[in-house]
Amino acid sequence: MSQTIDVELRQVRKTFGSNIVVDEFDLQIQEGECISFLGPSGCGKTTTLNMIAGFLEPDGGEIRIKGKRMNGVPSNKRELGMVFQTYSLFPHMTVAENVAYGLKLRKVPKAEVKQRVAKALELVKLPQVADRYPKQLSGGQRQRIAIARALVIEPSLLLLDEPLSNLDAKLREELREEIKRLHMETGVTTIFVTHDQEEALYLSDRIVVLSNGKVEQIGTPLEIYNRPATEFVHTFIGKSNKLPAVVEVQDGETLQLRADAGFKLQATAKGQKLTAGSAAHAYIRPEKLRLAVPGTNPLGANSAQGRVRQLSFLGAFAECDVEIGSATVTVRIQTIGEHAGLKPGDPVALIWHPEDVFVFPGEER
Amino acid sequence: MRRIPWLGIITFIVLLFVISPLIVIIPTSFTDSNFLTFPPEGVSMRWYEKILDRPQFVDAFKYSLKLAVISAAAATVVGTIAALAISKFKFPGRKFISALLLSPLTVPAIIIGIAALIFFTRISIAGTFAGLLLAHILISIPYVVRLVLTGLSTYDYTLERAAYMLGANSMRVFWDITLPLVRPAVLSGFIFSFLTSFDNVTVSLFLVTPTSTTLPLAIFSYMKEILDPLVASISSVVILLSVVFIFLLEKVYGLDRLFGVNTQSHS
Amino acid sequence: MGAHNSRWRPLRNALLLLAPVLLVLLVAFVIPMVYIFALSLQNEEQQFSLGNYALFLHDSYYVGILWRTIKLSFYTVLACLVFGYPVAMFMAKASGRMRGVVTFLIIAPHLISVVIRNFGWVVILGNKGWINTTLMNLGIIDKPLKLLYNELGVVIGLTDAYIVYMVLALVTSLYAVDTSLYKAAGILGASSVRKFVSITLPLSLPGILAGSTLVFSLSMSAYVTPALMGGSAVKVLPVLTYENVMITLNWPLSAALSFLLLGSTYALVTIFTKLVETRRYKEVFSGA
Repeated sequence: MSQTIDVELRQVRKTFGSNIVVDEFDLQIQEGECISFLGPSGCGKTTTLNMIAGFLEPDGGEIRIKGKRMNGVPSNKRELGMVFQTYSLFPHMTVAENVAYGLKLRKVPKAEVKQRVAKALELVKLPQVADRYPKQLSGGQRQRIAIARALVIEPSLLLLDEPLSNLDAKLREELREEIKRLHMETGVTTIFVTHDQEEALYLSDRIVVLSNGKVEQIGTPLEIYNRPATEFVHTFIGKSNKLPAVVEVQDGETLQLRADAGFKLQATAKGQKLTAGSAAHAYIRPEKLRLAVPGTNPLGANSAQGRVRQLSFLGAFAECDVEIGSATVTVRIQTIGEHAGLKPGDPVALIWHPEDVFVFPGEER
Repeated sequence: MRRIPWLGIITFIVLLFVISPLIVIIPTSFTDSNFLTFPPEGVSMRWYEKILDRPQFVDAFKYSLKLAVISAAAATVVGTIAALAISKFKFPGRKFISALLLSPLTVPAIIIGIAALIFFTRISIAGTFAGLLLAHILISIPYVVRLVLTGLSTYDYTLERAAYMLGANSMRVFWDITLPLVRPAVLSGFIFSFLTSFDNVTVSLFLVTPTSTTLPLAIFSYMKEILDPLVASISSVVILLSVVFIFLLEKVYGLDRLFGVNTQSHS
Repeated sequence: MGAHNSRWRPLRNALLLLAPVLLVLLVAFVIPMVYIFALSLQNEEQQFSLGNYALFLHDSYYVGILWRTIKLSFYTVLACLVFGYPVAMFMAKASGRMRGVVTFLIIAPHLISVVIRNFGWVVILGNKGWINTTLMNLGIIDKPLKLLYNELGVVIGLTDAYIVYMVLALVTSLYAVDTSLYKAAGILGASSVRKFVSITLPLSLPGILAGSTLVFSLSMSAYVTPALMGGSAVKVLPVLTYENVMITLNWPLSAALSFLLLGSTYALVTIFTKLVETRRYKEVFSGA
């Protein structure tokens, strides 16, 4: 991958009335990269995409694509490809006409249009539906055609606006693999907007996590998952047990905390500095907790005694809710093996590693 | 024991009731008699030949046709543009505007006619083609607006965005995307306006002059004086013409949809 | 300036596109209506006066005409309801194809000028019309029955003209009735009469209300049918108004008559609606 910057957002800002929807958005996208905008609805991800697409004008900052300033350039002059949540295929045109539409507008010679449409349909593996109307296609097929229509004009940038949200779970997985394959084959720089963390983790080279119009973190899926910059990022991605706690002491990389639920725990600080006595939120993901025989305490501070409250079988794995003092934490367990005989009310011990505990500052008490 | 299908029988009778006044006209028009009788006596084309002897009916027919075509075209154009504006722009007061555009439907045609006559006399356009045309455009506008707004209610504006992204300018988006998708509604708006204008009596009544009158009004005036088979032959011509348009409307849009009932989706 | 601009720019664009339609509406409808309303409140010296309205209400001849108009409209609603309801029920039960055919056949005649349909009725109901000729040939009667140029003729003509609106209104509310309700009632032991009384009828109330008020309003203001099928014997308010406009040329009185017609129709429709829309009705059908 070359190191040219394809898309650049500088201090982009958008307000609706007194509402700041996007604030100080800075981002550089490398050529060929696939970037996800991830966040809950209302976080500003779609607004940002609409500014890049040219449907909205930023109130501040600038957007550059291939080095060219885009502010004030209308959508139809930006040479971008876009795929919408609702497919948005033109219902009165056949599949081939839909795909050809962008080429016709560019006055591409007829023979070339035909050949490029065929190639695009080949690319999305749907050459057989060329003469059908969108109504005659399934949701997944429609979205593939929409992708073909966006790619056929060889856009400098492909924008995908929640393209999988209208599909059911199985199709969603299939199509997401398809998008990954297409991205690898075409190498087109891609921005993917989604509220689904799994999609973002699966597809992206880097993820931009947004909340309330602000960028929370920009990083690779691994960085986002393993080194969340904020409490929001940690809780938005994956499942985690929240334990309100008080910081007892920070000794270099090691944090000693006392959970409000009544046990001690250690954590490895990941760059943060917390003062003794301050409130904190500690988090441990269910898959990082282990069940042990009650009474064992192999890791010192990093264990607690509790009681099984409820077991839930989820197919590939199971979840076990354990009461520790006043807190209830969820532990992911394998359904086969030594814990198979657990039942509610059984005493258990929980153990964990200090590096799996994430600590964020809590509200003052 | 077989149950008597009462509902079917009554439905058949009611359908017969609404269709029979049209059915009886056709055979009557071929009568050889000088009087209006049913069943007709003898067969002849003389009452059709008689139409041509009466230039007032031929002129009225041309006048009605001209009026219906121009008023339907004008109502369709201004009504469609208005409906597009209401549906596309989220401006304050759009609810009020759309209610205003539909409001002529809530006032009886006879009062619209009287109000137009009195005011048009004041501004000196009563008895002119322009005055009549204006009134006919007015009574068609609500239908066009309602049809196009209904058509647009399921219209997905991201289609326009998709077209912009592919490089289309506003003009192209309108011609390639918007218009084709509202075409059935626009076309049926036109046909329905045409029929509304072509059939109208109650509004025209106040705005025509003895020398230039519309066909239904010419028949109406004639009928009030004389009842002879000539009315039947002229009526048959109008029925034939209307039937063509009715089938066209059924083909383009469906009469059920036009009147807001759905016969398809319900099982 | 940005927020201000973005709020008003759509309005400016929209007004530009709405200008032609609003112009037609203003010149051909809104201003004329306001103008004749003002006119109705003037006496001969062009001063404010309620004289035109008072004249009407103090003259028993005029009040009689209003009463007849209301009576005939009421009969028309009744006829449309009695004959339209079975049709609507038939359509609700029919298969999609049959339903389409009936819908087409009931709407299509409505799109042909009322003048022509009234003429057809003259052919059928006249002294030498189909019914009288047949009955006389069969020897059942020896003098033609008077079926035309009386109140019966007007009600027949109006019912023909407006039954389509009643059927369509009823059908819309009957289509909305969940058919599983009938199965549920059947399982509970309801007979078909019982099902009609406890399910169909109450759930079609909105359709009855909509259809009745529409047919009533249209009948109140109908001019052509009373003029052609009632003749001079059955004078209704629209015919009286027409005569005042075109023959007597008393425009202030005509304007007042127009608003009396509009006002009485509106008042009766409102009363009827209030009677039907009980509290229970509102709770069941609110938001529907």
